Amino acid sequence: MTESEALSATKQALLAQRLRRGTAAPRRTIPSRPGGEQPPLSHAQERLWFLEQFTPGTTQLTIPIRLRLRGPLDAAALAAALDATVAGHDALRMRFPDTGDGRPRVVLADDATLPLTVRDAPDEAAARALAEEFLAVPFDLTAGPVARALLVRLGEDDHVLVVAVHHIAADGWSADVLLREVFARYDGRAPATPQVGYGDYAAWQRGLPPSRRDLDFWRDKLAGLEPLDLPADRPRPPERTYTGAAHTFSLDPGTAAGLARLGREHRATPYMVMLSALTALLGRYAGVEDVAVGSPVAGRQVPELDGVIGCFVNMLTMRVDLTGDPTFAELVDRVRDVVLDAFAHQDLPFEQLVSELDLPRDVSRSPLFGVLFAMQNYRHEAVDPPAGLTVDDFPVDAWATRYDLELYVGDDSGGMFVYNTDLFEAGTVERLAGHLCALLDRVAAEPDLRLSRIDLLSEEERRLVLDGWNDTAADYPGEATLHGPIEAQAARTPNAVAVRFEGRALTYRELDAAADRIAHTLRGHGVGPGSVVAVCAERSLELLPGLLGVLKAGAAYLPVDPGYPPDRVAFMLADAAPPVLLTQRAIRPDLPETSATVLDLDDPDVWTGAPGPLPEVRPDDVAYVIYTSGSTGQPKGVPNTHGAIANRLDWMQERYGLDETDVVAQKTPLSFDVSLWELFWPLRSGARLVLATPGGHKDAAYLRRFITNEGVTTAHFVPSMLAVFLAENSTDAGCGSLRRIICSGEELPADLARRCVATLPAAELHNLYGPTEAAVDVSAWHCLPETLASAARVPIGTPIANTSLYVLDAAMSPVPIGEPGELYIGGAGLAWGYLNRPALTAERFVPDPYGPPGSRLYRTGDLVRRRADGVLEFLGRLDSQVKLRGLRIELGEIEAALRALPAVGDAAVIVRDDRLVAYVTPDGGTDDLEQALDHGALRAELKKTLPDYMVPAAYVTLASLPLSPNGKLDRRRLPAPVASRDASVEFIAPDTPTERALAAIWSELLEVEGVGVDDDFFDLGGHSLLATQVVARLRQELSEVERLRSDQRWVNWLISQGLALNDLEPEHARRIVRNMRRDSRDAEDYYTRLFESGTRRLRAPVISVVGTEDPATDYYQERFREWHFLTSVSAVVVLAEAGHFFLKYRAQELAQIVTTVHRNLEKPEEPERGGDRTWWLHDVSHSDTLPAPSGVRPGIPRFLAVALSQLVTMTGAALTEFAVPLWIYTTTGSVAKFALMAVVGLVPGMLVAPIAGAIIDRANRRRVMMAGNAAAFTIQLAFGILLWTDNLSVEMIYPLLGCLSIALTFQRLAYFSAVPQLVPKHYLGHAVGITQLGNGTAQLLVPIFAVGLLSTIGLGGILLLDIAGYAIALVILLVVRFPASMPWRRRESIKDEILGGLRYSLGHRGFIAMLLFFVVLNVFLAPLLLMFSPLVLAFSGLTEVGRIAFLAGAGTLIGALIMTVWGGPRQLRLRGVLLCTLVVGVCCLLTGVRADLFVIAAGVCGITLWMTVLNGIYTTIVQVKVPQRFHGRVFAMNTLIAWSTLPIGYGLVAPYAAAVLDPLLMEGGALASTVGALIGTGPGRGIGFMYVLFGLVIMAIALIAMRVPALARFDREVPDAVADDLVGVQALRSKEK
Amino acid sequence: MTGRHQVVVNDEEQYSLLPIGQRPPDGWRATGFTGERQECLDHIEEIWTDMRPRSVRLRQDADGGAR
Repeated sequence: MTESEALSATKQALLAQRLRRGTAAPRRTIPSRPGGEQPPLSHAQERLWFLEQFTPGTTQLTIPIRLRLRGPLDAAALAAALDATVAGHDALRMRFPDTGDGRPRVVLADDATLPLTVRDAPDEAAARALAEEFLAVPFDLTAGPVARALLVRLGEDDHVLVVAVHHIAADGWSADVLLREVFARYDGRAPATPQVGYGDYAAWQRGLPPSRRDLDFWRDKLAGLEPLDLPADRPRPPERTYTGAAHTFSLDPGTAAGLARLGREHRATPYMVMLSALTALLGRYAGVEDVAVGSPVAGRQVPELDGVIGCFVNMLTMRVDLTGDPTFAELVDRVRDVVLDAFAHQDLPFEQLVSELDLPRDVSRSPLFGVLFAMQNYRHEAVDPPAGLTVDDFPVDAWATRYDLELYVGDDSGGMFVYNTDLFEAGTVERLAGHLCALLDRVAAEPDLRLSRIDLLSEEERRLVLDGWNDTAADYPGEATLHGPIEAQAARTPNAVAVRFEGRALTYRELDAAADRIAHTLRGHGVGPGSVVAVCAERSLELLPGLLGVLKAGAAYLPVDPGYPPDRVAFMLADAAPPVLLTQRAIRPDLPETSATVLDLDDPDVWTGAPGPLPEVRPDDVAYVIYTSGSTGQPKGVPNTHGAIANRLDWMQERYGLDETDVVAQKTPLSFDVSLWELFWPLRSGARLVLATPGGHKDAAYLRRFITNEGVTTAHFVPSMLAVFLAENSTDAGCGSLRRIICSGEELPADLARRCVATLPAAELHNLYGPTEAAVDVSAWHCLPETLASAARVPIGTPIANTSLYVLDAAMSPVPIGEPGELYIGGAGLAWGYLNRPALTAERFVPDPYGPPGSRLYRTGDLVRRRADGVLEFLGRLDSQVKLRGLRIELGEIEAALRALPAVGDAAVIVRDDRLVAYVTPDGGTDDLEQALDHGALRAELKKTLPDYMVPAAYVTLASLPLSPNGKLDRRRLPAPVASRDASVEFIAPDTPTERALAAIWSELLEVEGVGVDDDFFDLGGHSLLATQVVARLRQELSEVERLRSDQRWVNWLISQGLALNDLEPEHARRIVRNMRRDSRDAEDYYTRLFESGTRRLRAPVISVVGTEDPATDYYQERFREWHFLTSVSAVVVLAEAGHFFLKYRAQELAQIVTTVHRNLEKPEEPERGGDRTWWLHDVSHSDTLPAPSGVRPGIPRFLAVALSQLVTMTGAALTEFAVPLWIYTTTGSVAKFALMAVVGLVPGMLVAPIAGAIIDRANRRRVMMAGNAAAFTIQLAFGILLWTDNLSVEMIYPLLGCLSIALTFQRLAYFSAVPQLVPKHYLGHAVGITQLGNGTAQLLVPIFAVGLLSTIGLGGILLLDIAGYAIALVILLVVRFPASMPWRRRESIKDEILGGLRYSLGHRGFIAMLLFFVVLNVFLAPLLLMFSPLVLAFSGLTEVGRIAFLAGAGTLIGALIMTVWGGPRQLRLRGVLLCTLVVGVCCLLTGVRADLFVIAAGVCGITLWMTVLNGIYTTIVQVKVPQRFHGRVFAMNTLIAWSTLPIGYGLVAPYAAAVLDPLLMEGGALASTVGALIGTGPGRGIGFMYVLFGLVIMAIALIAMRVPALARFDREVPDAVADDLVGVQALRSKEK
Repeated sequence: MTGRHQVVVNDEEQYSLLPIGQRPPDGWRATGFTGERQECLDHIEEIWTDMRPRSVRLRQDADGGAR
């Protein structure tokens, strides 16, 4: 006898004592409570009370007693007996009123009854109904009573007695005590009253401290216990339910005898033997080796409690270890020890244990165990019926269950399962009972059978699972090759579209021909049957001919994902050793070194192989090799044959019947075998294939557009992507073209399937299953709404054609229906094995005991089970392989990669909340775990070898990995990672509304507190699917705050950039503009803030790409250095002739720039515009700080000082220019002189402007400004001296004014050009605004000042002010030094601008007509702009002239405001100009009709207002109809033309018209009686008449223009501007030629 | 899954292993090599040098050999 057996013998003795007495502890006594004190609740009562509160109104806690009493019965005596019994037992007199604080309290009534209801029933059925109805009434614990009885009278001598007692007052044992006492009292005997009451027991129990010994025992015993997950038929309800049903079964007497013998031989009670059998069966059903079952014990710890009614029962957790595949006899030994140990520690109340263990809250199941097992050997036998009566059970159908499954066994005749009907179906439990009986039969006969060898199958069941459900033979005609049927299809429908990609397409003929070219070339490179050709390419139109070409050449293709890390790609290329690698030009630079010949699919020059015969391809040749994740740390290649994939595709066609109306989406990466059917199935069936854009498969919004636009009928979704896709489509069904959705790649959750069929009812949903090792898929299930409705999980279905699927146990024997086992695959789909991995192949591809001779089975490692209808359900993985977002991941491979890192000692990786979590221990140990391992560095290292989807999202450093008692990793004890920010990243709080919104969404989705601006989404645990959710949420949450400003000016600008906005829905156009406005503003704010506040610098270089013709990036030559605030390496690349939208029009060059420049930053090339380069690296700057420019720096104070001085002087000059002509007019009264003066003040400056521009471009702006200022100062001084010395004559004024205009031109141009030099460049926009504001203010205020000043201080005073102003300005310019940064430079000289504009405009008759219109218009309009001063002065004073001038300025301002808000018309812009002209004409007429200040004011204000609007619309015409790069030219030219007529208007028309007309309207003049009657006569009315006449002429011009065909059709005929960048492309082409 | 195993091979010269004492199914025969599971796998790694099924190997080699 070994020591352990000896120990067991001791325990055995202990048990005998326990079973007799219920306790082994030294005899204890329970004292009586002090009188009058209310008792507490016992632990059990408290737990039951809480349970009752949790689900009130149910009868789950009702103990039902149902008896059939035959014989004469005295109901009154029975009622009295019941009441008398209640009087003797505390527990039956308790009620539990509310206390208000949520805690229970007991009130013990002194007298209480057990109410008996008496009813009559005609028959048994009615009696049963009454009994069920009675039992269905819940108890009210607050009010009591806690027990009641029903007597149903079936006949004089036939009654049914039902007693319902709440569990809080009784247990099974108590039920017997109750009956015994009631019957005794009914008989007139008085049973002995118990010495202690339940209240005494409760008080005593509450006073006991929990036994440390018991607690330690159970804590140790139950450590790491996982809930038993029996495969249920229905999804587990989120909260526990209690509806049950029962299934009884009987045992064969021979079996019972065998079990009894077994028990004797192993000193085990029947309870232990049965518990062994039950746990063995549950272990097999749940596929686990650790099973816990709950069992009740009486809990009456002292003998005096034996006769007490109340809840004493305690629950013990029997945890049985099934590891090591023991024999049944060995298991019985183990179970005996478990039971004895448990009994030895049975006093600890279950309730106390549960609260001490601090288990995770799970309201969906009972704590610790879900299966209850009870031996019911104490019922009724001990209850003697009253004299003259017989007692029988009276079973009813209603069963309540507090557990998933309960097994009650009588002694040896059989037993009963009670099961939760929300989890199990009757058939399942019936099968379970059958399997339990089969197990008991087998072990009774052969106790030394190992558990794995216990065969539970009946012959019929065996035949069904091996053959019946694998009857899948099918014969497919035609060539069993992947590409053969495609060639046949190409011969049938050569001109049909085979494949489409981003608007381009290939017909079947083109596809086949291209594939042939590739095949021939590959043959030339020695490729043939048996070769492998690697293909590393993005989805593209070249890809498919490449794959087909490989197949035609007889070789197998090996897809290599371009996104994989170089190490992994290098490994695959080295492992498969393909002689040839097909790729694309853009990818080639990133490929690792390889000995393979690398050919570009997108280089037509490569594919010139001489036509010749192509080899015959056989079904057993390999068609493709796909690499999957491997547990050893390296991926492994799987070669699949033509025959295997052809069978799979033939089956698919037969099952789903694709035809030429179908469109199949290809969106799965080629490294994932689903791509096989996406690519080749449609082409074999004459359907159309459409390729999603690279990366598009992760973007639900894109997919939705893609499916809708291409009319996709058939698409594949990995379930996790389907969820995202449906979320995107939740508000709008859409995607109506979809006819079938195929899911595979990971488990399809039932609720997702239900959502899919509900959201897209027109599309069939199919769930497919299969590993890479068996040609894509081996089983399929059609998800129909009716079958999904109640399914716990979506089945993976039944085998496809020529495929066998077996559910086998560890010994490769078939497992019973419903029991989980490993899935094995046999048949046509099997791969050759693993490339270059003989041992692994031998391990996973094993001899098939059930198939044809010599055949193999593939061991999937997947846990599945058969439903009763033969359909397979996927339950999980047996090993550490997982599927995450459809990608197969061997956790072992990640663990191996982690262990390979020097800093890591050990590693474990698990999936937690849909993401990978790595647990690592530091190598060599450390004191400070926090510092031991840099998680960011681990992640970075892993990224070098593993694809992104395999890099864990979270890391936890542990001192050691937790192990279970049997030495395995104890996954339950791995702590949840604390989702947190990477502490090495400096926290910068989100600031802008966008950042804050984004941070909030991140922290919600990632469950991370406090997300900083610099935090990495993926480092925080994000993954691609979460990222799409972020985007979706952002779309919802960030709504734009509308602004007053019109979108139209943005629309105009966009049109000038070549965007065909008019073709879009207005809503779309509006959205584009909103986005642009918001994006520009946010970007500007963001970078300005970063620039000002500083930020953590990037390690990457910043490379700016600018177009030479893009005004938005002016000053790039130096401004690119400003990025040094973000990086130490900043470079600028220049795209020749590119405008603002080169992203769209120069994508190819941009791609080159983006992919190559960063590698060559060390050697910038000479910026050279010549040659054939269309782009070049202009400059590279290395600096660790923002470079401080030498000399003074641009600054706002500097700028403001200069700007103020210039504002003052320009205002002064404007004053002079305004005042001098007025002075002349008031002095001489000559309109001609007045007008001529205006011409002299304008024309010289205009003429000299081109020269001034050229000089300023070449000279120092400060000096030019100083020179201009000095000249203006001198001239003003000369004016002043002449005036003050009374020598100022009109003749003198002309040259002086002319010179002044020239000096001012220089000054103004130099100043504007110098502004960017003075201002820090990020304030440039504001500075230009200030400059313009200054000018505008000057224009507006000058007339008032001028007139006011003229009348107060006179011309002399004005000149004095000006001279002083200029003197100060000169001093400022002398003092303020200018920074030596780059000033503004004209893109071309003014001459070139004007000539170029002329050339451009003369190219279209519409433009010519428009220019002519302006020329004519200005002849008549110009004089009117000048003449209002004489008009007013004729009857009023200078002050009034000032007022009118002010109103004219106000009109201009209002016009500008209108244009800002309105933005001008959307279409018919020239028509708008003409209508404005008409209105201007009306206003002119109005101005002239009366010599009334108000009328003139209204007219003049109207003229300037509508002229401003007119000019604004004209500007939009140029913007919209002329490419951006010509805007300058066209504006310059038109200004020239407009101004060219000003001198005519001012100099000729104004004076002569006035001279001619004035006399006519003097008193008695020729027209005094006619026109004069209308507009008045007298001085100045001639000018008034001029306004009337010219107004009419202007109106006429407008009306005529509307009839001129070239102008009438202008808006329709003149095309919108060609995209600016297209002009650039054109320019480049012509340069090439 | 430890314990003594035997190396087995089928007519296509594809190798696998079975627990010792388990009769190979039809079409499979024991090679005679036995050992612990890992020893058997190591042995297979050594002797199974051309993983093409025998029929394919014969045909492809007759056609001019694999590259």
